[in-house]
Amino acid sequence: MKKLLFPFLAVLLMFPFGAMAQTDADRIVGVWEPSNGKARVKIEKIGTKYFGKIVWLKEPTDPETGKPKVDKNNPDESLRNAPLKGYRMLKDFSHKGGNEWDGGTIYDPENGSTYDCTITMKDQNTLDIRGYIGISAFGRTDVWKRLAVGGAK
Amino acid sequence: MKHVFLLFGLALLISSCGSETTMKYRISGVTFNDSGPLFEGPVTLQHEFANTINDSLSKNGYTPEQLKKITLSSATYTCNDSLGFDGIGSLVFQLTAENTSMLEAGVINPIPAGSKAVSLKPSAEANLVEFFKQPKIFLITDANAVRDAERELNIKADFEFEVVVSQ
Repeated sequence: MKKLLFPFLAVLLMFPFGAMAQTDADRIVGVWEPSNGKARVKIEKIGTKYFGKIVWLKEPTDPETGKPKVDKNNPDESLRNAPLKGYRMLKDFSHKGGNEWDGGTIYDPENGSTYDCTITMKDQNTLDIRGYIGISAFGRTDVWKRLAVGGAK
Repeated sequence: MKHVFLLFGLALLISSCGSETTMKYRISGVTFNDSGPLFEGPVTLQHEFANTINDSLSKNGYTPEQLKKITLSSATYTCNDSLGFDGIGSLVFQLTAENTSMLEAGVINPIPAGSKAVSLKPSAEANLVEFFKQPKIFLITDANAVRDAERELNIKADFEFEVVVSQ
């Protein structure tokens, strides 16, 4: 009887922790504002990874063209017509555990460069976004703040 | 909220040249749906695609290891409801998979007014081969809504890829 009961209890005990881990990783989902206030980025989950797309721009119009800004610095010339609003500047983050998401990249549309990136959640409404090349020690950290629901516009 | 349905068909057209063979691989009838309402800004439409290119390769005597390069050669999107692409400013097509970084593969911006069918401009550089080595690929379309709208979005897409395999 004990033999039969053990697997059942093990599954029962594991389930709530599995569900909790999922919820824990998804804390990062939401709309966030970088420290310069120039954009707002919505982080969402696709598959098991996290991505962040620009959903709001302080200055949505390119003063040179009078049209909505496009990704004019994209290294792939054929994609320079892609709208900046909607662009996924955070890509491919996995939840490392605890308050950290890593393995992803951050794109700087102002110079068309992509950097390795680690995200650390300092508290429920604050993210440290650390962009770097190669070694995390040589990089720059920006602080992003969570926006309340409806704050994307 | 977002429901994406897929009906797909595959076809391989083969042409040989020296030590490499170029084939066409088609994924047809992909349907991206959003039940609405649409809010101004990018609307993410996604579909989890069960990759079947290995079956198609083996039918033609090739193995996945022979895959060298895959690029998007065309992407056609059709919106057949009465509104067409009204209120949609642009479309961006991307791929992502569990063990591969997301890549943009095509874009149309802006969408001409009154359009019901549009073709995206494929990326000239994005080599998609790593995606097609994965069992599952997420096909992502970002539709940029230019204003809030009380509407659904029902888009059908056909993709054609150029596949280069070594002999």
